[in-house]
Amino acid sequence: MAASTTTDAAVFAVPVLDQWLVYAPLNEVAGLVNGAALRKLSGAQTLDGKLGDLAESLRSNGAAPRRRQGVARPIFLGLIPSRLCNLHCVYCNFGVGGEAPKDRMDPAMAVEAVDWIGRHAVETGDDTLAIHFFGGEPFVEWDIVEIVTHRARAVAASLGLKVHLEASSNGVYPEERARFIADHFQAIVLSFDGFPEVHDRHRPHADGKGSFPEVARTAKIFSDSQLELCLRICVTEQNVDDLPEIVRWFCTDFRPAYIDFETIYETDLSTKAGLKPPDPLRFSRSYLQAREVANQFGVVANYAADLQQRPRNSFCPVGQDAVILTPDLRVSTCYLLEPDWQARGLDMNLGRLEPGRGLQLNQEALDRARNLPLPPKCHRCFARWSCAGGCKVNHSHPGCTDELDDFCQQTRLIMATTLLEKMGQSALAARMLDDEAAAMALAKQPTDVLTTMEMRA
Amino acid sequence: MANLALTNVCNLDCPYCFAGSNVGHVEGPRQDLSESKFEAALDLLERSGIAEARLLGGEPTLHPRFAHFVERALTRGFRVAVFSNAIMPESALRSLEEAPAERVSLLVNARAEQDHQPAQWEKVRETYRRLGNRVALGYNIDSRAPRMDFLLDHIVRFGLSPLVRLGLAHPRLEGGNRSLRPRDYPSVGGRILEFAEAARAVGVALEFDCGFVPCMFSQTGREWLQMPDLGRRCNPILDLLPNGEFISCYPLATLHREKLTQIVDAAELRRRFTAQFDDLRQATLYPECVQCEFRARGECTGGCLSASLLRSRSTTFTVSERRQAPEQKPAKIIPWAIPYIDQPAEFWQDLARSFDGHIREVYFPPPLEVLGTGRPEQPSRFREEFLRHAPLARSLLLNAITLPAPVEQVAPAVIEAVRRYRDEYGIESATVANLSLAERIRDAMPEFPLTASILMDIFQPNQALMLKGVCDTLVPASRMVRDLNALKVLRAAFPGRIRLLVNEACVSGCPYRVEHFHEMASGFEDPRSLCDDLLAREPWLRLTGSWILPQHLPYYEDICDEMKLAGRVTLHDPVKYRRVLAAYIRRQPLAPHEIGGGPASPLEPIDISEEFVYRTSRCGQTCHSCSFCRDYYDSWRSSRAPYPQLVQIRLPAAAGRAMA
Amino acid sequence: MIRSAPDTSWIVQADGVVLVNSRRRTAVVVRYPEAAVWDLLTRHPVAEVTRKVACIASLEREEAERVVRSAIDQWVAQGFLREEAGGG
Repeated sequence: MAASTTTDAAVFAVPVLDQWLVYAPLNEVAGLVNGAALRKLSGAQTLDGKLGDLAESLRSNGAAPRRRQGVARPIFLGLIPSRLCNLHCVYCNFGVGGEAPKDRMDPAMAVEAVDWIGRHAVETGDDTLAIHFFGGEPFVEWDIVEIVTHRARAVAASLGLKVHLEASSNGVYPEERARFIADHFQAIVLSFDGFPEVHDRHRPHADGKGSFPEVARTAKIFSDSQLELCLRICVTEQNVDDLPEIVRWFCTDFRPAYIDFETIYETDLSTKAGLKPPDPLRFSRSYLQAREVANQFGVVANYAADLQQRPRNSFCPVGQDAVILTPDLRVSTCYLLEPDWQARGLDMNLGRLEPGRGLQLNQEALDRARNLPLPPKCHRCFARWSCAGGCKVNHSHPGCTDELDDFCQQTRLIMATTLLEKMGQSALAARMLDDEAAAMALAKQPTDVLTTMEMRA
Repeated sequence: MANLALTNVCNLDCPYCFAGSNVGHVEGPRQDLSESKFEAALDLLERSGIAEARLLGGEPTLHPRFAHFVERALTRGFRVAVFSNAIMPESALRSLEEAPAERVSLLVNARAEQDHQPAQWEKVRETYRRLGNRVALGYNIDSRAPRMDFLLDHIVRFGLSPLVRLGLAHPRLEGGNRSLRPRDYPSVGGRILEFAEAARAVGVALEFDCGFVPCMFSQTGREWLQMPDLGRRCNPILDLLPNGEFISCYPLATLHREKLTQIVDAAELRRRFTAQFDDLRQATLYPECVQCEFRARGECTGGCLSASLLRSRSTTFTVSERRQAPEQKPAKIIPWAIPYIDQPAEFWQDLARSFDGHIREVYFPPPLEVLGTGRPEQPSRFREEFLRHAPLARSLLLNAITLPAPVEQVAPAVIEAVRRYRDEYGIESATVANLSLAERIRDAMPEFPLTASILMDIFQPNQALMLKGVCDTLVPASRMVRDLNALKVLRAAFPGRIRLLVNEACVSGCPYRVEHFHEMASGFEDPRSLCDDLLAREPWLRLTGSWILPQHLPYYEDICDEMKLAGRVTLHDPVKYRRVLAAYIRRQPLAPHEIGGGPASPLEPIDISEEFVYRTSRCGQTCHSCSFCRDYYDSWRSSRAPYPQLVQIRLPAAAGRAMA
Repeated sequence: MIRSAPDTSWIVQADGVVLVNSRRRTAVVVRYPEAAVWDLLTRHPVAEVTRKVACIASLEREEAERVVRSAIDQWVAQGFLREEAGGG
């Protein structure tokens, strides 16, 4: 099929063994057709019967999701108390060797930010004061966490708001801190890479000792509480084949609400540690088996780029008005390190916290973050409105390769399988995944656009 | 209603069991309800106008007089309902089979066939076959995704009563059973509605036990179920235990009990329990329940009280002394001596910026050819850069605990080196472990400040007098770091400055210390920590070590002028270094295993209470007659023993796969 | 020395904390900033609690000291804390 020049192609088709999965994501319509039918669909003639009905549905011009406009309506206030961490995860460049800044947020400024988000929620009609802690390891800065937690709860109570406190954490701290979090927070994303051998290899202390015992203990405390617990697994070649068993164990012993799967981003550090991203097909197969196991336990297995309930413009908080305050009082929309974006020619800064005046956001910067361009390859991809281009930094435009990289391939395989399962075609999806040639044909197809349908629309 | 537990033993081991009974894990000895108590219980039911005797356990059919009890209850005019797992002795099954069908029913806590061992399933099947529609099935939901379809299959297959009684696996207050978390209720609610629809399609009705809440169902679901009182069923059930005590219900068994002999009727009993629990119920409502519309309308009482109570905390804590507590004074700025680690100048510039005014000096060992330090030579790639450009005062560490030759032979070269470092790099002081060497340096360079190292082992006033005129600053011996009274005495005896080393963490008065430092200074190939074996046998000794946590520094501020951080090796990672330093300077809490202490320091994240610090800094270390540290350690270990589920983690074979 | 009373337990609620003394059968709802005082006292010495409360409630240090001291006094009177003979 010829590549489309349209920036928002409406209809896509990907090969599934000897059939074709046609999909119009904005209409939320999908169908399974053979080659002959596909040729007709991509041709100019009028169609009748079932094929005509399908063509009509595919063509009916669903609207792209609206981009945010106007005043910021943050999904949360992000706080980075510092970039420090008490672990030495081999794939993480936060706080290692001087790459990340070492400063620490002034608690008084954190309090100002909390007050601002409370006032802002009231002004914009939101009913929740939501704060998400990031790091490094946010709970290393325990003083700030305690102060912010209590301030947020006090402010929310005084303004009649609900409070939602959440953090992404490594789980390595004394038990009394874990209990404080369990009592006062609403949700936790806990990094837990599976069985002890791999977890300890991925996520050791600075002295090389593993962190598994502490993380497991913390996970148990969280499991016994009312916290919404999400366990996040970093997947490498080392643990990719164990995902179903890891999930079974997680679901049995820790009973999370969600399990997130992220494949490792290859960096100098991870390479030096001998860690590699998993092969996309191998990951897809293992993840999908793991997802099935999780389903049996009522736990949601989550691959961030997978099919979403609704089409979306952004895969992450960027573009959703997230305001994230760094220790040096910059406000940005991405929690990654500033040099990382700058290396991609991006500016994710939205403004600054000015003492006494709260968060001062630049509307132009906000609008720019809401409308970051996608790489051209994304416009040709059927996963475009779910994956939404993936990470805006690691898949930036310009900067991202035009080829379908590992992330793209595994996303396409997983999403196609999810679509097929929703259509009651689980057996077909399983056969496709088992057939390496067929799977890679789908994963690597350079363009999925069904050109003629667009022209008629 | 009231339930009569005939026995506390059971022949299954259901993980959700909130009766706290199973074979091999019975709490205390086996207890069977005596005949006299059974009759007294029936008397109570009669007085209360209750027409049904509900028999449960454990597994009630295992009571040796089960058949007789059924007969007695029937003879006295009661209907009998038995709550069982359907795996019962032949005599029990026969008694139920022969009883009038309209007056005896069996509620079976059902499991899927594959969840039974084959022999057990055969017994269950036999029970179903012989009792038929006198059997109703019950199911306790203990997970987010309950699989209940087998219930309908069993009802149809065996002709059982077209009724399923659903219960939630509530937590026992004392723990030990697998229970459903309230946060999972909405997920369960969705599954129940799906099941209810399937049940209705085959003519099976649903009943709900206690603890369900309206908010776990969608509005459509609530309308469909048509159970407006669903949320009001957490009430005293009145369970009679085999020992003759009444409890409100099994999950709350430990909260309050009433004796059978002291009860007039069930209504009075219910009043007593309600009076006990009402306050608690109000106090322990889930946050979501406080403003809930269902509760406001009286349609829900807030779910299972036991689940609510599990949120309560009762850790014992001490409020620090209110009279002249050292922490109430404004913290004085105490300068720090910190170790050199091999980092570029930017690292030190950053520290100087971040901790301006807090760092007195950075101490570093000279090259080995000047004098050994008692340690292998550490990395020195950036040392030249550090010496020339670091914006912090620098100090030489001359820490050899024994000299390689008589002092008169060693001293000249050392003094020459000290002069060179002073003249070329601006080195401002030195720390010395050997008093003889210190005396010679003082003679040769009388204005050059000297510090007596911790390795000089000064812990008594007479020793402090020996330093007079030689050393300007003293680092007290590690054996006294935790002894506030002894430190005060030493301070009074020494006219110079006291510098406290806060994280060396050696065991107080360690008898292996000298040999260990000798081995390190003497070029032994692998100088290991000689205390390892001792500490493996007596791990509590780590709690007596020479370490002070940052959050407890206020206790020491009045007795020292400076503080020192160790860690040339343990804090070699710049991130950890910075973090530990920041914690100490800002008095931010750390656990003992986080402070970068030596090999004898605590290895586990032990919570160190204020009480522990207070006592062990004043106890005078009379360890021969005191078990405080040992007890503290043992108590901490046992309270943090892995949860049963963690102990029983059975890592699949894949977990042992060799790493690539 | 002041310690938590043996029969004292507490539950964190959305807008504060509820203190329960099961022996006296009393329960008290504590709102902010005193709710923060209680929680922080379980882990920190008074001076540290004062510093944090000053930040949490935007109080001057003296006022924060007053709030903390007053809360402790009240909880002693209510039986959630109790004074014991000092140790050592």
